[in-house]
This record gives sequence, structure tokens and C-alpha cells, in this order.
Amino acid sequence: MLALFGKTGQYFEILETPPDEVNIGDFLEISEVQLNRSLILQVVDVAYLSIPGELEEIMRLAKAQEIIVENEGHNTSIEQFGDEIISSKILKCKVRGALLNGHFYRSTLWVPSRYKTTVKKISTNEIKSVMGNENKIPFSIGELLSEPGGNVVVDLTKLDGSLNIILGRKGAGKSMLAKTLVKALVNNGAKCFVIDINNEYSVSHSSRNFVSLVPGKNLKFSFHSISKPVFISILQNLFNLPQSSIMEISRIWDRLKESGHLSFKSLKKEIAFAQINDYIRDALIRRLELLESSGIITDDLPEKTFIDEFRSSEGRCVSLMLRGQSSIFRKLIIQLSMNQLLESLESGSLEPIFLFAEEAHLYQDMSFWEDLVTRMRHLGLSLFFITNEPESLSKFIYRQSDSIFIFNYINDNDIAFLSKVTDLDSDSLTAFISNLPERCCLATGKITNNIPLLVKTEPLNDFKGGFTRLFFKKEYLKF
Amino acid sequence: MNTETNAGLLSKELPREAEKGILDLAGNIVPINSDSGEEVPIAAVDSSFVVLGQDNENFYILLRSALVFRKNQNNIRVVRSGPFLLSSESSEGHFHEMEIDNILRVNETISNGIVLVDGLDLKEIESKLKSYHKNFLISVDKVFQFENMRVFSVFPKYPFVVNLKDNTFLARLSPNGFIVKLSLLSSSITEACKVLSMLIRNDELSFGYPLTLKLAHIFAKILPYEASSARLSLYMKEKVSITRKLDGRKLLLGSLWG
Repeated sequence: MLALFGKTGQYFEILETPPDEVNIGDFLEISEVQLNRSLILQVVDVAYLSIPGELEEIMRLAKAQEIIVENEGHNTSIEQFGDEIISSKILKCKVRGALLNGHFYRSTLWVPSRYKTTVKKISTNEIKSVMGNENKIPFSIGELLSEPGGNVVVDLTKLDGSLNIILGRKGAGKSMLAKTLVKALVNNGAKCFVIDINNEYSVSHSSRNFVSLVPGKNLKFSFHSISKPVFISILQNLFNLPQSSIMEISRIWDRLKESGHLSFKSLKKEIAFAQINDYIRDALIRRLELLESSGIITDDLPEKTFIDEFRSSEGRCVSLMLRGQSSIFRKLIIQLSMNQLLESLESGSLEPIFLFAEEAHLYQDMSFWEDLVTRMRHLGLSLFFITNEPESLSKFIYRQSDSIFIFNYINDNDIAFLSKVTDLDSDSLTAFISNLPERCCLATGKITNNIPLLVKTEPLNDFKGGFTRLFFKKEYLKF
Repeated sequence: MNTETNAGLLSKELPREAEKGILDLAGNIVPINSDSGEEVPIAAVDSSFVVLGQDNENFYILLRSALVFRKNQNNIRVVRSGPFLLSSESSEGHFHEMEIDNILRVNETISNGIVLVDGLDLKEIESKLKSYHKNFLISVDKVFQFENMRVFSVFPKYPFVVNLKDNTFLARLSPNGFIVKLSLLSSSITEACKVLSMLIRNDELSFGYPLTLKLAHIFAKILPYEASSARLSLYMKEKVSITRKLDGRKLLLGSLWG
């Protein structure tokens, strides 16, 4: 039995007596049938009903476990009601919306009567039906934690042009969710670009829709495709080239460009023989040799450019495999790729792209991403940030986010930070994410029509990587 | 160690109690030798009742009892009876009957042992007991206390027993434990000393109170939520609507001053 018990602040308290069983994250409807109105609540916390004598009973039960207790002549009816009373719970609920005369509203000032209302548990599908939203491209991201078998079907188009964040502790399942989304997008013809720092987005079977680019092997950038500002910026920001050296290389670049002999090789040669300060010459030569050793800049024109990989009539996922690359080369590769990608998007020569960036703070500073977030809608870029450190992303990015997927966090500081930057109230957030089992996440925002859902994500075996390599693997297999 | 203290001194220490006849020490304070008792079974009986309310004709009462059997220190068995829902014209009659029935039942279940009961006048049941079971009955009065609390400092700290009057004794069962008032079927201090040494040997003592009897209290007690369950059951199953006993004081003065 469920009944409206009270209201404290923003929270409604619902009395739950057996056999009903409602869990955190479940939805309830309080209806006042005569007036055709109801409230949609979500359970954010569960507490035991405080009853007189509960402590004595619990102590008695604990004592009864130590000794032999036989019951005779007990009254089953009284016992049943007693069990119901002692097992009763108070469900702390938050209002998620109201239905007034058949119309759904996000908020309401109406407080229902305790006497005239009925309370019942409702499924997520019922909520979706009252909200009246249709999925243009339906896609299941997993099943509801509280409704096994009840798929969470979302509209894939809601990821289009949006900023999405996937957060979770190491091994919580965030990459698995990202891969599920990549697969769904590719299957529906979308183009995805994945900055894959752990080489885990390559598929286990051969598929022309999934392309893995290995820097230096099937990923090279033609020197001719790199503009002078980009080249100079790489030398300055990544290789810490001093201002005086920048001025020299800039002059040499212009001279070679005018003569029509600009190439990486000629640039290096010209510096070697130029009438410049020896210190500057050494500084420039050392950096160009370092750049050359990366193997990703070539004077030749590659058969297929990085951008050409996205030109396909079908869906495609291009993943940049960066495992084993030094921090500086990783930054270099990403800077060159992103420059080309953004140029192509800006010129309109490339269809909109879904970009998946794992641990984005490791290879680009936040101002770069913030700038991208500001321009993403005009560029045709949909962004996914995947990280295990909530504080690595700026507040600006959180504020601009459309959808957010949060896996389990138990650290109070992480939870406190997230409650400050997300739209969800801190009590709901704490109740939801600190109790989430493995592979389960809280999904909220545009993707779920702003209704927080607890989702058990689907396991995926299509991708190669992502598994933890263990030294004591044989020992684990024994159990 | 000074094994005997003249109990008459207590009357001087506690003149008010002596005047009122509460303290009528007939004998000397006798120490109890806890090592001398033989191994015997212990049983305890307790019952409780709650008046749920009343309708125009009857009181509605909830009754429960617990019988606790202890053998060989660690072997404890609890038999709980009830709760029984009764309607009656008197609010306490059934409780008393149940309590006596349970004592007789326990007395027939064990032999050569000790039966502990909670604050009952043993004279009432003496005639009903079958002597061939050879059990010792001890009624323990846990609510007993002197008006003048200094009495606890007057008595020795070690286990002792002292005869108050007739078959009523005052005893400390464990060192520094609470002093309890006991009734036995005999008024002999020697027998009291023997029985209590057997009790100390065979039962655990919690602050000087026998654990077997404490367990009987614990398992017999009707908790407030159980009374609520019974009221609900009465209403839902028997369609009987009862009102709580009227409290004129509360009605007139309100819940704060009533």
C-alpha cells in the first residue's frame, strides 16, 4: 500500500507498506481523480518508518537469533499487521512534473490532499506517454535499474548538436556506454570521431564503418595541408619555441612560399644554411627533427587524408589510436587532426560530426574546449566528454551540457562538485549515484526529457579494447 | 572478611523505612557462597498485557507470555505464547490466570530446578503446586526500592541475603549488583542461601538480575507497535471499532498538563 504521508520542504513523503516495494529512482503518481490532476514524483531516498518500540523489537529479534525461540498460539492476523508496520518505509520523493487536465507541466504549485488522493507506482513508459514525446530514431541505451527488461528507449536525434558528458569512476562502464552510443550513431549513418587514448574503440570484426588510425602508419598529415599559423602555433605551444626563433622561421617560411618551394625538407634545409644566429638555428633544427621523428608529417600527399576517412555514404567511426604516444606527440596529433576537422566543418565540406573525447583535459586545455563548445552548433559538432575526474571539466562546460550520464561515485567531494554544476538537486544526486551498481548510470537532461533515469547499460562485445589487463589473471579464473 | 553483619543496625540507618515497616529485618546478613551451588535447570515465567481499548460492553486486551528454560549455562529455549486478543469485562483478570497457569506449567516441565517469577505472591499458588517436582520458586520484585536510597551503601558489596520478614528476603546476587527483593515458599535463611547460590551458579546475572527472567520479560513484553497491529487487526478482521480508555485528566488539562 502506498499513501501520502507528509511533505517536508521540497520533498513529499510517501508511506510504503508491504507487499509494495519501491526503490530509489522509481516513479510514483499521486492522483486526485475527481479534479483530473496528478503529481509525478521520483523516489530519491528511502527511510524506515519510525515507530514506538522499534528499538526494542530489533533488539529482541537480534536476541532471538542467538537462542531457540518457539512461538505457540500466535495470532497470524496481528503478526501480519505487525510485520507490515515494522517493515513500513517512508519514501522521500521529489516532484518531477504534474498532469493537469491531461497536460504535462514541469512544475506546479498544487499540493495534493492526503485524504482524497491515491498513490501508485508508474513505469517509465507511462511517464513518457504522459509527456507525449515521440522518438524520431528510437534507441535503447540499456534497461531500467528498477524495471528489469524495461528498455530505456531514447531519441538518438537528441544527441545531435548537443553537448554530452559521461562521468564515472575507473571501470564503472563509461567507455562501454560511449561505445554503445558510437555504435548506435554509426548504425544510423552518423560520422563519429573518437580521440581514443587507450586504443579501445577498434572493432573486433572487420568493418568498413569503423576505421582505426594509427599515427605514423595510416595517419599522416601532408605538410602542405598545414597552414603557417598552425605550424607556428605547434612550435610555439607544444615545442616551446622562443619568440626570436619564431620570427626567423616565419621569415624563412614566407620566402619559401613565395618561391614556390615550400616543403618540410626545404624548410629544414633552408634553416640549416640560413644566415641566422647559431643558437636560433640549433633551436629550430632540433624542433623540426623532433617533429620529423613523430612520422606523422610528410611532404608526400597521402592517398587518403584524415578528412577523407569521414567521406562515406554510410555511418563511420574514425578513431585516433593514441596509446603509446608521448604526451607531446599526442597533443601534436590531436591539434593537427582537430585543425583539419574544424576547417572542414567550418567550410561546410564535411557533414556534422559526433566527437568523443576521453579525458579531454589531458591533451587540450579547457579554453580550447570551451571555445569549441561556444562554436559547436555553428560548426556542426556534437560533443561527448568522457572522464573519471568530474573536476577536470570546467563549470562552463557543465552549464552548457545538454545530457549527462553519471556512473557510480562514492567520494563526497566528487558528489558535492557534481551537485554544484549539474541541474539535479544535491539530495537526488547523492542518493542516486552513490548507490549505483557497476555498469549502471544516472541519465538526465535532454536525452531523457530532463527526467533522471537510473539505467543499467548494455554490455558490448563488438570492441577489442577496454578490458583491464591483469597480472594475476590465472588466479581470478580459479574462482 | 566480615561474613555477618548485624542487620539491626540498618533500622538505625533507615529509621523512616523501619517506622513504616518496610524494613523489618528479622535476621542477619548472610553472605552467599556462589561456588557451592549444584547444577540445576532454571526456568523463568513472565506475562504482559495491554488494554487496547473498549467498546460499550467490553475491554479488549492483548496478552502474551514467555517461558524461558535454561540448562547447562548455554542451552536456552524460549517458548512464547500469544499475543492473544481477548474481550473481557475486567481488564486484568485474564492476565492473572495466565500467569498462574504458566507457573504451574513450568513447574511441571522441570524438576529439581529453580522457577523464577516476576513479583508474584507465592502464597497464592502454593496450594496448586505439585510438590513431587521439587522445584524452588523464587519471586523477584524488580521494582522494589527503599525510600531512602542510602540503603545501598549500608549493605555489603558481596552477594548476600537477609530475611526481611516471613518468606521475604533482600539479596544482592552479584558483587556490586542491584539489591532485589525476593519471595520464597520457605522463610528459612539457610534454604534461601542454598537456593540463591544455585541460582548464581546456574544463571547469568545482568546487574545482579537473573538473565533467564530478563529474557522472559523481553520476550513477553507487548510493544506499542504490536498494540497498534492488534487494534488494526480488530478493526480490519473483526470489524470492531474500539476507543482508548478515557483519560479525564488529559481531556480536561490537555496533553501537556494532563
